[in-house]
Amino acid sequence: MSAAGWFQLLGLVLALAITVPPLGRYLAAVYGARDDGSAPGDRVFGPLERLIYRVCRVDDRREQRWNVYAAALLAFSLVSFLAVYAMQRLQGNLPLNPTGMKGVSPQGAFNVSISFLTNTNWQWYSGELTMSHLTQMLGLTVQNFVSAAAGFAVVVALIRGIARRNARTLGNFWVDLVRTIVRVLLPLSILFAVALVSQGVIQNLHGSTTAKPIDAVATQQTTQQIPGGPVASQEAIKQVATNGGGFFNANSAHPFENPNGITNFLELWAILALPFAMVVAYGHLIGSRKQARVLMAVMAAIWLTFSVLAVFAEQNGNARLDSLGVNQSQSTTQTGGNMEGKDIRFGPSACGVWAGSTTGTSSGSVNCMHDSFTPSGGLLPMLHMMLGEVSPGGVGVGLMGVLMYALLAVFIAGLMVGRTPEYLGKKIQAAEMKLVVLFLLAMPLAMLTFAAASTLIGTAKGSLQSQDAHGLSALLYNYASTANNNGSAFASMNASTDWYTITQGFSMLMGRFFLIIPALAIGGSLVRKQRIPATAGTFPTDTPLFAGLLTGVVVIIAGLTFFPALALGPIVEQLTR
Amino acid sequence: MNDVIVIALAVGFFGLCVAYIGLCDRIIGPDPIVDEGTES
Repeated sequence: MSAAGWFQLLGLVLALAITVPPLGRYLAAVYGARDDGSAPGDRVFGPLERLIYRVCRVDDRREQRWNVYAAALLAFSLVSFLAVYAMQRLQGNLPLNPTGMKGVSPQGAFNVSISFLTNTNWQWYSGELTMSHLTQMLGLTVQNFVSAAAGFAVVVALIRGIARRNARTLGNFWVDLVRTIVRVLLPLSILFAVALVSQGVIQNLHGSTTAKPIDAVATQQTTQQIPGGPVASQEAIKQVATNGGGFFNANSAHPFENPNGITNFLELWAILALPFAMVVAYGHLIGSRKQARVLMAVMAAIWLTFSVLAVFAEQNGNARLDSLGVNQSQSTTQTGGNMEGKDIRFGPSACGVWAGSTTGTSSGSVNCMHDSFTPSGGLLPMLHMMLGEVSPGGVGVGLMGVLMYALLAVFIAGLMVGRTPEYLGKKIQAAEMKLVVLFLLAMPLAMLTFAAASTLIGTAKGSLQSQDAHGLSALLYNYASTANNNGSAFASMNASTDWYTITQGFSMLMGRFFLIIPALAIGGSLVRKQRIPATAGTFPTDTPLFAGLLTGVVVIIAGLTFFPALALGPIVEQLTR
Repeated sequence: MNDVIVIALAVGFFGLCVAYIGLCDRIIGPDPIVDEGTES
């Protein structure tokens, strides 16, 4: 890893260490940490929220039990699906379509609608060649806000379930949704969009501009289409809310989305800030910062490990290129390493840290081609997603995932000492453990079932560029991406066929709602319980020992579930390269 | 026709999720306070 790479990584850690605590305190206040219920910005945001409640006929004082909260989320998601679907199908007849985009196919629109309502942002299409500006702004960008806010709402409800005693309700879904959008996502996105525009990210409503290349003779291309569009506004929420869906097909490798090293650094910060800040908020909301620090340490350790290992894997270069005599060494004139699929603006360091950060969150944003990674380099982001994206995870849902693992860890610790497990004074009993198991099985089910079926169906196999270990790696990566609501891709397969658009749509739906429903149910179960005082036999969950146990549980669960599949894909590829 | 099929698939999934909420509710079991209230 180059000195510049280390410098960038240390700068990122420092920037996060400075900004995450105040951001976490702000989030905690937004979600009701203060005794009087006040939050910063009440004077500005309060009237706007009350207006929204009045228009939507929401009684903000009325709280919901867990099942009503979950039903509200489902109803909202179904309406989102229908709205985005209709917009894509009808975009040819709607305004703000300067390049004359036609309606998207039913199967394609199905996939995209699900992709954006689940915060996955998996893209089988090229944005600049498929979507009108109206669809991008009113359909996809709006979903970037509301799907992220729904993720926040779910984890806040779960936290209330843990923090409250002898209660019945987890809050009001509509209030949590509106407060997140108005007080968190909109202000941050506006500020971030302005910062991106200042660095050269475009923001306009133009169609494509025809330009004449200066190397027209050499490339035998007399004209070139330069795309336009409202990129900065989408880029801002794409990163802040760990969505990841780019305006352009090249995503954050495109110079209009990520023009330079400064935007690359800022966008990395934006991807990680809110997920880590939510952990700080958790500490304030449950009244124990030590508990939050343990979760933060586990998340940060896994994130750093995968990010640094990815850099090393790519910096080592490609053995096949070595055999061709290509110079991959690091020097004063080149970054060295495996540069296939990487922009020379970023190189292996910025690319590896980006891959580690986006696959630890649910951001499918990419600044280089993951398919071009070395086999071990490609294994790392794939495995990172398979951990369940808990390091630090997507906005809201990442903390939800690590809390599920924490419940499993205290259950295992309880089995070891023969005591009923407890977490924060709440007894963890059979009902909670059944729900934790349902939660943990949902993602592998959404991933491995469809990946296995794809290896058996001729047309699905035919979509793979190569039917070997690398082909299996691509298949595993893509279903890991959809089942974890990540959205990044190994590109060496055609994912726009009917089989893949439909099955990956279901993979995304299962990876979202089959996890959220049991997690909310756990909140609904815990909220009814009394807190019991800690005794000498209570297993403490705010110690380094628990951090180690939790890390072990996260890694072992993923290892036991996915090692056989990984052994046939990227591991074989690495050993036979 | 394809529009009807894909919309039906999505609506069907959300219907399944409603049933899943019911299943999770059964796993949690009845609310003790509500039950006590009913009995009294």
